[in-house]
Amino acid sequence: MSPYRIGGGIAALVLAVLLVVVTLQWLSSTDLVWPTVSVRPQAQSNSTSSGTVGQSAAGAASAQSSAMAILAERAELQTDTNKKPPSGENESLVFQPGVPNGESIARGWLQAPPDQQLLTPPREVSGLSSLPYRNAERLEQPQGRDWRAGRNVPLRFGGSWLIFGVGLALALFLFARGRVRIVEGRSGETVPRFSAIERANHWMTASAFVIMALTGLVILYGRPVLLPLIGENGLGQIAWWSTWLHVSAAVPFVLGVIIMVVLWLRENLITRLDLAWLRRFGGFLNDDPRKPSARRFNAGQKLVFWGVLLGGIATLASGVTLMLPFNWFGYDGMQWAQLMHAVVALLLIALIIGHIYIGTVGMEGAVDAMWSGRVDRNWAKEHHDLWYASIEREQHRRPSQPAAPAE
Amino acid sequence: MSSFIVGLGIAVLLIVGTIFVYNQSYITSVADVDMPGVHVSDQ
Repeated sequence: MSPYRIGGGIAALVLAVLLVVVTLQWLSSTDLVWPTVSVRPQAQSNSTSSGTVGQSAAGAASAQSSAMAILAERAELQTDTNKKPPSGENESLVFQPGVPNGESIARGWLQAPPDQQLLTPPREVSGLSSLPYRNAERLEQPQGRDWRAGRNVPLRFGGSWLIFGVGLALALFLFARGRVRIVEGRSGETVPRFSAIERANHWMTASAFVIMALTGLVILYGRPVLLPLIGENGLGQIAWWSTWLHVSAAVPFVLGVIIMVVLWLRENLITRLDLAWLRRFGGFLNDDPRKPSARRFNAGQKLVFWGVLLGGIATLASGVTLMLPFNWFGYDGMQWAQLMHAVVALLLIALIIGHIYIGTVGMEGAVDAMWSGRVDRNWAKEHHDLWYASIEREQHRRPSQPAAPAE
Repeated sequence: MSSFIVGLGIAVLLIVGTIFVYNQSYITSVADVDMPGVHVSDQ
């Protein structure tokens, strides 16, 4: 058995264990985050009779610590926020037992079963604030709890599942299939594949992507994964630098994708050849030297190109929205932007894991294309026959530039 | 190999440059803040 297949088997075992751990934690997690203000069941039962709410809230208001008082006061602020400005003389902004709206809303909250949300989306509670910051007026935003629950559980665990799952699938494929070899072996002669500008731009974009992926994972998973290991100070330092690097690496990434579009867009347009290539999975499943035809880029490479381009646009739009908070959207829009940014980025990471795999350990001779810029003739003939034929024709037309012997 | 180093180097330069420029512009923007009742010189 080849060392690649052994390595694939070991990697598959490790990733399978990680997937089991993630799955068990996912199943035992809760997606409901309770607010710190507790509502006692006794208060709920008392509040069913008329007048009891007012008595309970009046007692609580004097102590300034009752959940009833807090909720009712916020309800009053919501009711009056568009009517009167806050002032010392404005008594209606202070909670008073018996005020109809506040009492009914507070009763609704308190009578809600404890396993349900305290607030009913999309109801929001806004107040008045003297701070020079408009969002300070937003006292309660029910979608925020849904967003937090969605980010903490399905997004985090789903993202882990996606990344480990893709890794496991690739490791199992390597274990079962082994490397995709050059069936006819290396010819000893190479042909030019990518120019120096193409390669430098690829590595600039790749470096920026790796930095953004790693720092983005720190931002998303830092609290549940790193905090128990390195403590608050350690996580604070790493998260601070991760945020800076994440934002700054977007510049070379976006620049690199723009240059890729200029260099490679025309050759990445979808054709009928791509469907045939996909139907046969690129000929990766067996050692038949007659692989499906491809020009300079096959369907798998086009998938990566369009994935990076469209995913890059989506992450750029959502990322700029997050960098300029509340510039275009309110809380709701910011939360959707964060979710969109994270989901698309996790999908991109999974896609690039596959790209890295097939460009390195997965296929013999593939890494040469971006490393030295030249590929073996037999590799080119097997995986990009139409492109190789065009190279041949070009070289026959200009015999002064023969193929170079392999280094 | 050399193109890898060139690509990585340009990426690092752009990242460091972005952090530097952002820091400078951020400091400038904070100094320009003139909210009612808030003056940088008072802080």
